[in-house]
Amino acid sequence: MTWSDVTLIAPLVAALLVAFAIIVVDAIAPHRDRIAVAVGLAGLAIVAVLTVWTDQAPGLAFGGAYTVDTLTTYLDLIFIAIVALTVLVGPDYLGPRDLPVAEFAATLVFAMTGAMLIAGSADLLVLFVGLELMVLPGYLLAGYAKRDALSTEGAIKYFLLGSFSSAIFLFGLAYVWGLTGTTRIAGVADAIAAAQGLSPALAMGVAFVTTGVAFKIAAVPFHYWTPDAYQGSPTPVTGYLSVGPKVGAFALIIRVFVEALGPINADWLPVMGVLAVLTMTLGNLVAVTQTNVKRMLAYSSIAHTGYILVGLTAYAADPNSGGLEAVLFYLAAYSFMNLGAFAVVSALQKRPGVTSQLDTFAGLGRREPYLGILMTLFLLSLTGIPPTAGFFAKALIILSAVQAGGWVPILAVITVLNAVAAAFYYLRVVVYMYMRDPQIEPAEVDHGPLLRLGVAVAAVATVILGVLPGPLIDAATKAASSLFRG
Amino acid sequence: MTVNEQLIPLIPLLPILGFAFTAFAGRRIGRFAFLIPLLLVIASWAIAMGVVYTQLTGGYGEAGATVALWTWVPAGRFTVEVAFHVDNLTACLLIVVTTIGMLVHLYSVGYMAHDPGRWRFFAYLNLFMFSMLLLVLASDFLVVFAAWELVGLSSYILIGFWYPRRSAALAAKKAFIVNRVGDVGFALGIMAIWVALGTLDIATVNERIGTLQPLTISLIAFLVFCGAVGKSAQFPLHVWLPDAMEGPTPVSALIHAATMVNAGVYLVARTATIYAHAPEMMVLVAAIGTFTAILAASIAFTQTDIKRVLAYSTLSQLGYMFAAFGVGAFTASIFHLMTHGFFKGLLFLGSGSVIHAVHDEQDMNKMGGLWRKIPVTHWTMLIGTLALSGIPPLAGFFSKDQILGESFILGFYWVWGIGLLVAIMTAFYMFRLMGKTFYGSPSAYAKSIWESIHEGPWTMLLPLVLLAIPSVFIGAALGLPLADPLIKQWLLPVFEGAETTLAREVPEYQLFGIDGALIIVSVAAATLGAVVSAWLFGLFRTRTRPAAVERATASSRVTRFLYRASLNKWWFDDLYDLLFIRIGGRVADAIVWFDVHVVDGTVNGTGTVVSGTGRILRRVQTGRVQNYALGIAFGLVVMAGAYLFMASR
Repeated sequence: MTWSDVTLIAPLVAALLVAFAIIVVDAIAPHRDRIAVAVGLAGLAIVAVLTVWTDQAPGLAFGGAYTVDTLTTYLDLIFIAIVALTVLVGPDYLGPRDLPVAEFAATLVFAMTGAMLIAGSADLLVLFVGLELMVLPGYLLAGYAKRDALSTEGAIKYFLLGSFSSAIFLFGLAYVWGLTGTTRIAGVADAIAAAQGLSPALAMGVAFVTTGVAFKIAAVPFHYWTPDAYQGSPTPVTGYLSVGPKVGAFALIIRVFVEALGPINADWLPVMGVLAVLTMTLGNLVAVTQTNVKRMLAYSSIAHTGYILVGLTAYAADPNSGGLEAVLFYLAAYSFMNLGAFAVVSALQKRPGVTSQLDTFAGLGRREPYLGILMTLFLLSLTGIPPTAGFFAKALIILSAVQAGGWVPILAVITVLNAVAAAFYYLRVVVYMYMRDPQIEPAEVDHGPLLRLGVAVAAVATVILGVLPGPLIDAATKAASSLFRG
Repeated sequence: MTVNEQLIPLIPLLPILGFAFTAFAGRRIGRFAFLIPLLLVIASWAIAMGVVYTQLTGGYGEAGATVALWTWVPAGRFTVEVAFHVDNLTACLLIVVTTIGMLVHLYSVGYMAHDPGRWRFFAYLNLFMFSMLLLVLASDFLVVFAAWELVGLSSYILIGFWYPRRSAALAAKKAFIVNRVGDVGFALGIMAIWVALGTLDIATVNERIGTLQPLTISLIAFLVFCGAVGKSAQFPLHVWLPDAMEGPTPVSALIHAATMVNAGVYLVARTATIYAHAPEMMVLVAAIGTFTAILAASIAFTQTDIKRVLAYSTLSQLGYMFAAFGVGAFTASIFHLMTHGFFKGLLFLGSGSVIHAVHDEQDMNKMGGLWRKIPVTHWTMLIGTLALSGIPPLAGFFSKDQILGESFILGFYWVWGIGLLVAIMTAFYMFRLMGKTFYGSPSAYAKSIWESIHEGPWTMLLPLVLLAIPSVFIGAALGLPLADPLIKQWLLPVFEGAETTLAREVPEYQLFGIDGALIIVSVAAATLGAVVSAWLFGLFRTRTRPAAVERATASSRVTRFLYRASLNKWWFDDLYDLLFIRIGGRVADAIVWFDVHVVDGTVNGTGTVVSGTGRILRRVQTGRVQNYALGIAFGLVVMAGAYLFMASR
């Protein structure tokens, strides 16, 4: 272990320390939620600074098992933003339900450590460890309301199926290792390139890997766990689950498919294309029929996975199509707008017993104008209407698919059709907020300052990425270009 | 003195900050919510004046100042730059927009003093200022279009400011929808430009437009003109402006007289090179402008609502500007835009002052003899009236004479002839307005409230006085010397390209020849209209002659017809009602029938399929982990099969 090893993993170590610090603070001053949150946010700020600092001197650590490049930094910063926003929004929902806030924050930071490990892994084993580190806290969080039968049920299903798919994924990695004789990602890529083409054995391995990954990103037809897990979880957790593990899993896809399996991109290209079409179409189809906003957002998050897969397909068809940049931009934009929408839902559910049915939103525009306007903003962005983050995210995906050539432009057409269908169920919420009156006038809810801050941050990010997307597109381009070393 | 060009973005930025602040904090601040918007607009005005001065004295060099802010859309070949550009044309618009905007803000402090929603009003005014300034500063068609729509939006919310009143809500809706018709044309025009030239940068478009096919240029020019017709309320989209008078009077002064309605004129002037390459479109512009001028003037003859007379007068004057543009007198068109902005703003604010004085009454038949009670309003409005009528040496004389003179010299005798007729009519209906409002004996209603009629607070009177000054002098300041006026020197670089393309022969200016004669004719026309009107409707204490008016209108069938036509606004509202509401409604009913019976049938069929699929999917979603795991395993098998198939190729 050299000094540079230590400096390169400094953000990871710091993240772990932040999680421990939150637990220690909670042990010293129990139930002082504000202090725990403050420690968490300050810690996350330090982690972010360290992440940017390590980016100044990128390189490989631990004999090539861990890497810091622009991509790592880009993804790490998204993870930090996601966790920070969730920590801001969570207490308002957890507090009235007597759920501990400090453990919530600590668990999230642990999960973030796993995600950061995925983003920086240069070795398949490290990658798998990162994956498990990321999803295990997720199971915990899904069952966070442990007296709630639905929450527990969702968590157990999530855990069982998650373990099942992790096993499948690991099995696939074993194939790849057996055939190439190495677990280093660069080594795997070299060996596959040297072997020229897809051998039947490698095909089996890739099939297992694809299945495992498809489960993690909730691609159709491996999405069964999502509705139950999302519905049962406390709303801030649902928000986190719909972005955090998803971005983490896409980090994993980039490291495994784009890097390790890059030489056989022509072989996984059609699979990703089919997954993309199935995922966005089915996600939207089912989302249309939902009358519960939380469930609607859960299914629509499946649809968004499909859009992102279109970008990945475009990249596989033509690395110069801008597909990978589009994926990276979409991940950031989607994180902010989706977390923002979930934050509003959880704000409305502050009083225990309030459901996330559409009726809850009736008259919101008049009752709470700020929440109403911001929810409208998030929904417009999710639909993809300018000038919001979601518009450029979708535009870049569609442009990359058009530029990829071959049959990929068909995906662009399907994406546009899906986006139109999505407008229906997103804007229905807006109609409820502004054009329906509630049957019973709900009691006034006083939102905490943390929640207000969280929603405001998400809103500002959504608008800025829509008005001034240039810098983030540049960052995404730089992150994507760090993959084309060899 | 030079002002750093980096300050230019502040001109629109300050008002939008005012909007954001007031929208969020205005309600809590309450009575003094006007302070921040007012101060920011004054600051914006001060910066703008500095920039204008620097630009007009050549401080930014030949090409003007450009401040690139950021690349809004960086999508491959399609890029949109957010950049502000100031040249002499923009400078002229900045003078009008910021000055009148500032004075209207000040006026509103007094005018809206008793309105509980005053903070909202000022927030909207700031939003409008931002949109309008963005419109004149933007250097890219797409940004101009965004600003164009923002202007339309702020106009909509300001017309409907008193939205609980049904007529206000309807008028706002009408303005919005009618504008939309023009906007579709403008949007199509922008798309055509993009397809044809691959750029939306206005300067580049003006440079490269000559390389296109004549037919393409004509199409683009026509589509852009559609947008201008909508926003500047020209025939046949003129119907929204008179109804827009439902908005508070400061709004009418700012938006529907001095700034927004000029956007159309500005747009065609900005793209003058396009029109220079499509001379037949310029004839269309001239024809629409001339026709609107006389149509609106004839309607203004018989209206009794003080604001509506001014609204029709605005339509008529905008028609003049388009007519001037169409004949190729580009400078005269912008000159008239500037002078008209000041004196029409003055007249509207004055009418607001009158309405304020007689307790929110707008019917001129219920006024009369007010000149003693509200002298400041009377005198400033008299200046505005003289200026609008084209009596020398006030502002309107110089710009109107330039328009009429150049149309004649350039050989457009029909524009000149109708223009001259409109000049007579203008003087006539304006003195009719003055007579009915201020002179003669007070009406019964005016007598009943005689004691309580009084001038508004100083915040309302000061803008009147401040606007009266340019209404007197700006024409002489910019229009002299007659042979080579200052405004021509300013705008020469802007229109040089267009004028070279047109290559029209303009003979030497002859003050003691044809040009001098034309001046005498137009002054005589204006005087004739004013004198006849003053004789009929009174001037100061002289008595009015209502009997003479009635005798004149009843004298023959033609005059009776004309009177009814004018009173009913040539039945345009009824025609549109028939065309779009009744006949269009029938068509819509047919479409609804088709929709219900054919489309919905199909959709319901699809719906059955979808919900059937949904049922199947729900059956898949059993909630049992074993089934899910089985499903995943099944998916895995399919996946392995797919990969193996690919390996076997």
